[in-house]
Amino acid sequence: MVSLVLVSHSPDISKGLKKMLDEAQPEVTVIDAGGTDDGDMGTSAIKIQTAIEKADHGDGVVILVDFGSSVMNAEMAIDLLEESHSVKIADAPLIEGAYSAVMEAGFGKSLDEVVESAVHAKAAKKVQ
Amino acid sequence: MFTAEMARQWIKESAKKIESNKEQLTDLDQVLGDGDHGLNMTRGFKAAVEQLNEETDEPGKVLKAVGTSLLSKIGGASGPLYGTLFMKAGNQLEGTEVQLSDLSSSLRVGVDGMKKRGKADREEKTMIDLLEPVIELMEEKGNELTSAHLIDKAKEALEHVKEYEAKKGRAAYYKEKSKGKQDAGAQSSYYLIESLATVLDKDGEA
Repeated sequence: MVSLVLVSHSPDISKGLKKMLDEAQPEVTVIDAGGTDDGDMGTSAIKIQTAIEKADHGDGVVILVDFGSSVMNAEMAIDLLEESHSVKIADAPLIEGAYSAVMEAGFGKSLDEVVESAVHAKAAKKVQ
Repeated sequence: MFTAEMARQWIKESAKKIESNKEQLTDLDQVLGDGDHGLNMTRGFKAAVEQLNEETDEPGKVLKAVGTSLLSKIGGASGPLYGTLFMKAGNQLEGTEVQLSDLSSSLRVGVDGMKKRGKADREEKTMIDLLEPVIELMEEKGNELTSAHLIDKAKEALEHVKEYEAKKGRAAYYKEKSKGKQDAGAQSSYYLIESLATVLDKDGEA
């Protein structure tokens, strides 16, 4: 099963999001890698790297990010991985993308399918 | 020559300069960013000094460890950017016999890594606008490089950065309003170069 890593500048946002995703699909591994190593506002490549290593059960990991240094640190985290992992950063809104991703991951879909569902969430209309 | 001890002095000097200018870096970042650059850089360089590799005779190993400390302690976008600069440069420098021209080529690899990491280029009002012109001059001067070369070029670059319109990070939200204001990252990069100049001076090669 594909796992998720959540990266937000605000550790409260990724923590709350994880809780919401755990309720939706309890069997999917979701790791909250928001905030800095000290739990402050920000992001950390090392924290994201550790999360990827812990999350991967062999079917791959999708990383959901907010903006700015989240993307930069997620890319750096992937470069820092010592063993090979299938990891993709979804070009998707954090909350909506993560929700779509966790549903598909729970249905046993592949990494590419999970990433694609997250990316689709970007185009979802909220107001008709 | 650029020795491991000079590399350590460079980082200690940088940490001192950044700490004594912490408030200025924070103030600059409050105008165009989120106001944490002074604090983040001080924390990062303090950790880099505490975790300095005091054992090795290889400058590359010193700089690589500095990159790792900065990456994990600065936070924000400056962590992966300065982390990349020092890690890439450190990886590039081999052995104990390192010339100034080797340092220049290693910093070239470092700054290219930063550009890639930040998807940034020149004239976007970032640390690249300070570092790259200085590194180009270092490449040109080779082993003839002096501290005066470094300072003159860094000062000139700092003046140019101020006039650019921000294209990266939170500063980009200010668009043309960012013109005439200094970029906090370029300012902290200036202190790194100024510190390197101090180290070259002390070494008597200047």
